Amino acid sequence: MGAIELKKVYKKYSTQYALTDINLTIFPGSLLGLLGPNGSGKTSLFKLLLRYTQPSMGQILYQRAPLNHSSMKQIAGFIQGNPFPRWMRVIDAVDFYKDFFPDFDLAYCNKLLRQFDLSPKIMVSKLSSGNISSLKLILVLCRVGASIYLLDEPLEAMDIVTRNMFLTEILNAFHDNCAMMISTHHVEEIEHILSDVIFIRQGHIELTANAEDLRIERNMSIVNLYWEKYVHSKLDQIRI
Amino acid sequence: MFILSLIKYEYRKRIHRLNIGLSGVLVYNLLVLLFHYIPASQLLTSTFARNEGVSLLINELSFVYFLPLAILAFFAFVDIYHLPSYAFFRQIPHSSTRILWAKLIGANAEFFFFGTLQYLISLVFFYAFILPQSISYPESHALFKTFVSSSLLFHCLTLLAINMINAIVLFFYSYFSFNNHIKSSSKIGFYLIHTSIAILCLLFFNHIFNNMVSFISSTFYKNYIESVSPINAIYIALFLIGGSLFFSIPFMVLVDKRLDFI
Repeated sequence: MGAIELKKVYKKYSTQYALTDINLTIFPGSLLGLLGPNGSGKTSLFKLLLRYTQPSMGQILYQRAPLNHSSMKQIAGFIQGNPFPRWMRVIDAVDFYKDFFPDFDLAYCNKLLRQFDLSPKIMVSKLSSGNISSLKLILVLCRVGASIYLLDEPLEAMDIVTRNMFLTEILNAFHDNCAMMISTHHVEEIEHILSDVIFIRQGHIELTANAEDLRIERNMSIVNLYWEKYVHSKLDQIRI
Repeated sequence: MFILSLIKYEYRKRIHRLNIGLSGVLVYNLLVLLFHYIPASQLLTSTFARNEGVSLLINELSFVYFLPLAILAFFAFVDIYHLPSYAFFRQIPHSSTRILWAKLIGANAEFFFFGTLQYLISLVFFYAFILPQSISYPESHALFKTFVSSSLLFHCLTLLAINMINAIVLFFYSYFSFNNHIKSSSKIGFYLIHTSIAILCLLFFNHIFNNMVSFISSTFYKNYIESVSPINAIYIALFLIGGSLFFSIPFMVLVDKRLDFI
């Protein structure tokens, strides 16, 4: 049984479909990479799973029941950009997680805030994009009891040192009873940690496979496959 | 318990923007004082002499009470209609109905605070500029004295009435915003419908405002003072609170299931 199942999910914004016929099962113990070019529907998929939006058609199930607000006890995640209200300081955001999520590890959070030089008193709106990404990731990773982690562009705007430090933290947070889905354009940096990959384009899932099997089958790395699927085809389109 | 936690964040948000509201109230009243009361105070005696106390009362109420109250109501309630402001709270394991409750409580508390502040300021203006000038004209003086003495009840009912108007707008907003057909229609159609609703709401507000003014300008205010006993006031308050809840129901029911927040 998968932790999350999407059955024939469509998402339409105004007249345009952002996602079409999405059938996907996320199993516990998998560390999924959601890979695709800009505008392929990655964030739309995260928005659906985090309940920011509702599917236009289809069903999203969490442990066989329709996804609802109770499911969020076990689901931790964020979408790209700055989701924090303008009035929040870092300490308010931490308090918020502490108040609403019993699985939030405050001591771990404080340790990470110190490690990544985030002052609790500072307004979130005054943080740089990289620091906002750091804060989002810290808050979500500190939900140590979550069984699903949904990380949309977790390494967005971070410098290379911070990215590497966070990759270590992501691996520390991952365990066999949880599932993690990560979307990123830094494919080369996360490839080695992924157990499975999903390639998505124009709102449609093109390929879902075990990362290692795919490497053997195609005789190339995931990053090369990504280049082949998206970059080369785009270059071909430009040439035509 | 969780609703209290939500209210805590609602409180923090509204405290954060307290300075904007306070500066707004201060600047508005300063402008009224400088450009209305100080120049007009010389002309008040002639107005009283012409026995135009009632129209003066309406004029003053519009200036220092109804107009700022309408602006403050917009300032307090607009957040409820701003759907991205719900998004951050969607990640918590509680229904968005609770988030809406917290927002409604927060908006009402803020509106009550600023509304009552404006009410007190309007009383100060009345005491400082109008009452002393009207002493020589017993009829007008009596009218203003009666208004001032019974105005607290009037103020409370006005706050509740504005809250109900907000609930009526929320009712129409929820009907049109949560309608999937309209969401999937073309953008032009979508905006046309919303603009039409906005115009209707404006007309609706205007109609209510005109009614209130004409009520006061005719015999309403006298009748109100004479007839409104505490029991009647409680009935009116219950009617307004019940009406507010009734009109908020569609939004409360639909908010958790039917919305795109971002």
